[in-house]
Amino acid sequence: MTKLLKRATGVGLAAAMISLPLLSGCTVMASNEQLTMLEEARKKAESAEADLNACKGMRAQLERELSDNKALLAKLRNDRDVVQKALSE
Amino acid sequence: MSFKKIAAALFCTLALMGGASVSAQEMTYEEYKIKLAGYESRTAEARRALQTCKEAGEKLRTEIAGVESEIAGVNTEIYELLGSDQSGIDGFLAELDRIEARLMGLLNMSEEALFEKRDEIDSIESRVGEMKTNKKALLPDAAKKLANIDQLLERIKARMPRKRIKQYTVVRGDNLWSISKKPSIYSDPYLWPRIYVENRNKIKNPDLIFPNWTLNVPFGVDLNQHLVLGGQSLSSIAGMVYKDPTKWYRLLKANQTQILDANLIFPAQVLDVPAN
Repeated sequence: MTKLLKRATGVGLAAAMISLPLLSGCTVMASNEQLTMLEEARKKAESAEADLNACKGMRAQLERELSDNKALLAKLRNDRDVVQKALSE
Repeated sequence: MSFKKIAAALFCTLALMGGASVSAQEMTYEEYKIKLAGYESRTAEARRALQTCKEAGEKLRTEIAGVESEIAGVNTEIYELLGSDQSGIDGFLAELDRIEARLMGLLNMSEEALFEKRDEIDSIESRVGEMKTNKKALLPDAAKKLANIDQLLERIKARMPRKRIKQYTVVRGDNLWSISKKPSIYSDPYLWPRIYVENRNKIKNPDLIFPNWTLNVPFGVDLNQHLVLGGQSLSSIAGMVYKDPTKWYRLLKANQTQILDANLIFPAQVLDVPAN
């Protein structure tokens, strides 16, 4: 009985040794070329996002400039009205 | 083959397989596809947002140009109203800033030091008066600065003693004329009567003073008084204090005890100046 058990275990282990490499061979890995492409895609995405951030910074600056100019225009209009009124009195 | 040998062989096989898979490829094809799709999606999204951002930037630039054009138009209107240009306005405001800063400095001086600076303060007050008549003073910025300057001048004048008496000890060879001429006194010999009038209890004859006498030498005049200097007339003084030379008769009326002839006033006379 013990002999039979040992044989069965041996056969099982041998089967495992043979089948494992075959099973792992079924998982397809990315090739080096694909990994290079992936790296390029990552760089493109980061570059596009950097461009977008720069544009957002520029837009914020333009918004501030517009806001400042509008405030200046309002002040100048007030100055003009005050001077006009004083001169007409 | 023994059980132990088989187990050792299986372990080695597994170890070799694991090591090989780590060194050769770090990513499965499925993972590669997912990551690639992620990067492509990020790129596409960023490019779309960049396009929107650029369009918004262009719109802002156009709007800024429009506002700048309006600013230029309103500025031109202001220049025409004031008869000046930007450099003229800037110069005017800069002068007000300088005056304001100087007055702040004067305000921190001691009363004695302020008294020594009274000519400068009078000169600043006179200049501020001139500047108020300029059209540029109508600009709100200038009006605000001028109002602040007026306040500072009021505070300085409230602190500054208008009249001070200094002591002078007569030395051999002195006379009232030479004392009055000294730079440390009036730098003007024609003001000698001021010293005479101030020391009437001691000086019986203005031609006769003695060494070691201590004389009181008055400087400045009280508020609402004016010290007559050489070359001044009632109308010129009225022009200074009332900004209207035709108001000379007010001065005459207020000083009838010391002015007998409206055309005859003397240096060193101290006239009362009634409020305008």
